[in-house]
Amino acid sequence: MGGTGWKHRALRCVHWLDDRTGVLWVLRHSMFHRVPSSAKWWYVFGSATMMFFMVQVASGIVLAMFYAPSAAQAYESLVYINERVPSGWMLRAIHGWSSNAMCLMMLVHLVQVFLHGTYKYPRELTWIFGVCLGVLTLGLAFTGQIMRWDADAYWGLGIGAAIVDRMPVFGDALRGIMLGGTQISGATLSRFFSLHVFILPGLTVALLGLHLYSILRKGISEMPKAGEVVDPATYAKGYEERVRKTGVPFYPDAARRDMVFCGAALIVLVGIAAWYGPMGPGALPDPTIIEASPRPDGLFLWIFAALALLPPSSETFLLLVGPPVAIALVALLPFIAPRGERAPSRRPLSVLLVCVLATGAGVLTWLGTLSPWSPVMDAWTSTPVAPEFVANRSPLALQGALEFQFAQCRNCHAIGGRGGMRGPDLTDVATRLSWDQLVRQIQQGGGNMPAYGKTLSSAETQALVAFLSTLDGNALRAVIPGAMEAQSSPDAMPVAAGTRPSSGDR
Amino acid sequence: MFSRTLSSILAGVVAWIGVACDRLPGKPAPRVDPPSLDTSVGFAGFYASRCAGCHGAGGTHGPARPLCDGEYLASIPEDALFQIVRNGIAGTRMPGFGGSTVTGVSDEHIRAFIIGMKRSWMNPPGLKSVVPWGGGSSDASIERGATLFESRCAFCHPSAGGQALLAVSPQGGDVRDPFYVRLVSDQHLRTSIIFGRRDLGMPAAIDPYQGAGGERVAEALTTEDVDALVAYLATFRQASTLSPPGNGPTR
Ligand code: HEC
Ligand code: HEC
Ligand code: HEC
Repeated sequence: MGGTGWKHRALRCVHWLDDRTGVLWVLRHSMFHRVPSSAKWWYVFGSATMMFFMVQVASGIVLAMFYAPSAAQAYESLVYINERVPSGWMLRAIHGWSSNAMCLMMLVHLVQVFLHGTYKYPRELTWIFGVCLGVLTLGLAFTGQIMRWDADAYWGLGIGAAIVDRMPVFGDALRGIMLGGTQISGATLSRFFSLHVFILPGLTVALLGLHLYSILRKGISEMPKAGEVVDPATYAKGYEERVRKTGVPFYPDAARRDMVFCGAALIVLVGIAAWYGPMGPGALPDPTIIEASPRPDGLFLWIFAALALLPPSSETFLLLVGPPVAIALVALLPFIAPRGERAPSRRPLSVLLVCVLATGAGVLTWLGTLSPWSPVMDAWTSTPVAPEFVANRSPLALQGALEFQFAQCRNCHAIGGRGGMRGPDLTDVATRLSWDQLVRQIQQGGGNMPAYGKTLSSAETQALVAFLSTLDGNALRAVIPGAMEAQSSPDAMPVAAGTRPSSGDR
Repeated sequence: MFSRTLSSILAGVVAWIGVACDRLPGKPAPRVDPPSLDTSVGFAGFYASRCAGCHGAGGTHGPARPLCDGEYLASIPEDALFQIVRNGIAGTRMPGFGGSTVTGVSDEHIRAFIIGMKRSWMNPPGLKSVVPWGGGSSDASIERGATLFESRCAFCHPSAGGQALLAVSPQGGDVRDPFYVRLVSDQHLRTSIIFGRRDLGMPAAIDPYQGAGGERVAEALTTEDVDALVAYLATFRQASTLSPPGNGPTR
């Protein structure tokens, strides 16, 4: 008796809810709407991408409860999650690997949709929302890597700032907005934290809603058949009719495949996470590690390689104009090719394009893993200016040596074989460049070297050049073994005339 | 049916992970805490990664002043040292290592580091210098500084283009170069004069030096002398002869 009373009341609640919101209708429609029966295993990748996104949201919310987004504590809190929080390391591993898996699934989904010509009439908007979701996903992956706040994060930010810096007019302003100041600091982390946990996920959820809605509204496509041409005049009617006749309900017929695939993917994910563990946090905050050479996560390695390989003259153009134009082209694809064949066998050009891009990205990624180009991030504090480059220098040249460290030139340039390898070794730069050429190189940069004209005062530039112009490759000549010690006593032997490298000669 | 098998597999996996979590290969090895900074090993590691680039490997022969100097470490007040390492010295090339930079070091670590530095480099405990590390007075006499400079420093530090008065060794470069003086703080000038740069041949305030005739003079500089010299050198910051960069060397 009480049982039926409860049931009755519960039903009334549901009806009330349905009456006010229409939720039952939405559910019924989305669960049991008919889909083409030819939609088989090819269609699972989108669902898997979404499933990984949900894993990200769930694990991310828990992680955010323990993570401290401040420069001083981020690293500690990650170690805390790894070591103290029960299964915390597992959670970090799942969050990290699931991010990779999400990007991978998204890529496969994108390629599948492209090769099957699914973006054509009438699913243009579905495609555009999808492309936006892709960009957001990459943004999430990039900002997520920053959350580790280690050497790799620093690297990612450095490259990001360098790219932004190249903007013609707004470069400085944008850099300020991105880093929250002129330098990477705690403010940068706060910024990227709010991007990573509020702004980007929020946008992703909103766009995902639109993406799903437009899928429901226009239906999913059938498997392409060679010879079956998309023609806006007749497509919609034909599709509706075919689905009515031969379609199957989404649940359980099509959903089953999605669930099986997602379940398997989830098991693989957990296995990988259990086996390989969490990523990072890497080396930076450990004071005993001296030569860290950071690199970005696998996904961004090819950018790293492209940056180092691009010819300097075209670099700025390619970096600033390339990505936006490429994304715009991809997004507008349905308007460029709205009709025609969908089957890959009839679209050799598209297949070729996919092959070329895949090979290119693969090769660049491979090069990225090999590259010696990354700056040595802590050379400026850890790699000493060897005594032979300090002896017999004027006080101004000593300040120049300090500026060389302080402005982090050392991270890219070796002196005496020690330091970064991104730029040339400067041990004998004075034999190659005159005083004026040195000034120009520092002020205007060039190649992969930033321009320092705006950031260095005239005294700083002068000091730098005074120091660099003593680097004539002959430093060792002046240093007789024991001479440095001998010099400390007031009656040491006189230094031969001419051993003090004098910039005045130039 | 199918999904029931699947969900029982999933539940099994989750349960297994819950139980076996501690023994999975992916579990990161517990972080080995780096040696504490107040030990000589911990100090050396930190110094090598953060300071050696400028202050020299082992604390001497770098472009910035040597820190491996018992007398210096005994003389600089604890709190001044802490502030310098934490916040750096504004307007100079000495960066701060605390606070919210990427590599930000906590205050406790900095204090431990200072203890480690004194343990390693102030051993046996050094004597304080006669002239205090800090200070300086506003009514120091610039003329007195100029006279002192001519008599005690100029033969090692001739002005630009000038010749050393004597063939002394080691000879220093021009410390009255306006560009140089602009780049360093008054405290740096003061520290350099009081503690010298013995690693490069620059005598400290108490060291004997070569007098005008080449003879050894063992007359230490007093606090007033140091104040006067710093005040004198600082006047070169205002020198109006600065040429814009690119017009060539000024030495
Ligand atoms: C991001 C890495 C990077 C940083 C930081 C950097 N450089 Fe460079 N530098 C380079 C590269 C790369 C080149 C080669 C440029 C080219 O190919 O034209 C270069 C070239 C030079 C050259 C010319 C060398 C030659 O043999 O022609 C000088 C001099 C120089 N840099 C000085 C400096 C100074 C001084 C600083 C600090 C204020 C500095 N660099 C900071 C990467 C860097
Ligand atoms: C990028 C180069 C650089 C690095 C790295 C650096 N310093 Fe310095 N340091 C300087 C310069 C330049 C000065 C002198 C600044 C001035 O007063 O003009 C200085 C001054 C100092 C002084 C004050 C000297 C005085 O005048 O009495 C102390 C103490 C000091 N540094 C300690 C450290 C310690 C400890 C570290 C490592 C944690 C370190 N420095 C790292 C460049 C550096
Ligand atoms: C025996 C020769 C000698 C005498 C005397 C001497 N100096 Fe020096 N001084 C040096 C040398 C060598 C250096 C190292 C830098 C260089 O080579 O120019 C130096 C460096 C300096 C520096 C720069 C330190 C730095 O790291 O920026 C200052 C400031 C300075 N001396 C001031 C003085 C003053 C003031 C006097 C007089 C009280 C004086 N010196 C006397 C040899 C001398």
